[in-house]
Amino acid sequence: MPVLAQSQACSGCLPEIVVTATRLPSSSFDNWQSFATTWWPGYSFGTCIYQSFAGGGCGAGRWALASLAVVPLAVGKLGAIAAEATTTSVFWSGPGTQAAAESWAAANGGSTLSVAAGATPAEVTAASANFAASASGNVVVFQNAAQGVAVGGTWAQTEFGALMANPSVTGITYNLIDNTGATICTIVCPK
Amino acid sequence: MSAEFRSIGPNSAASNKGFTVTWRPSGGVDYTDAGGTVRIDSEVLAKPPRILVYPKSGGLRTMDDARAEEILKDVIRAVEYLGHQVERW
Repeated sequence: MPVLAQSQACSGCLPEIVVTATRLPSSSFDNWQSFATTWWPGYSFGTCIYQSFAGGGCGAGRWALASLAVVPLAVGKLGAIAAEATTTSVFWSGPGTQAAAESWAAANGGSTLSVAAGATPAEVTAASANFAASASGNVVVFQNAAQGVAVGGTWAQTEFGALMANPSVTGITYNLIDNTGATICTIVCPK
Repeated sequence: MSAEFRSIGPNSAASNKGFTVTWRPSGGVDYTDAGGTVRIDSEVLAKPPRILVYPKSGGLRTMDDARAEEILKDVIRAVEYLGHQVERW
């Protein structure tokens, strides 16, 4: 079990957990989420937590595994942890990818870009840029392995650059689908 | 003015040939005729902003090539009527 450090007490929520360990048991690598909730009873995703500030005062938030990504595991495992913890924004580019992305988002609590029915292509481009600029944590993108990505599309021209420039985004998980819409490969790329 | 199409809603046009087409800005184009609705994948190209439609996508994948091509041409004509530039993959 990692060594924990807890700062000053604040009222109203459970204290934030700060992981200071440099190593986790190897057996936990593939099941970090369940281990975390076992190690810290009372905590589950969405639990109200507080964070104390160095100069005094408290802030409230919701517990997630994102902050645990500071544990220096192998790079691939870090990305996997981040994906479990903070995925919210889901992108897509290429034939078949919209349905795959929307299905994944519905099953995993993510969200895809939604634009008003009367929007123009220019407004979609602007909305895409805003969607990427407001993303945080690990984001997910679906692409078609067989037919590729439109190089002039909003992913290539707008969203990817905005995500890379967005300091709140910690990584991108690429899901490659085949022409049936099935995911055939997942690649996790921490920033 | 178009002799064939009339607007029936946001990004939606009806043809006097018996079909309607609705471009979904969030992705996809719906083609509807007496036989039902077919979703065709699309996305927006950025510079300049325009719409890319995927011929081998959605409901077109299971159709014979001639019918799929016919629908795709109808879709492109309708979306252009709605005032958008269209490219096909």
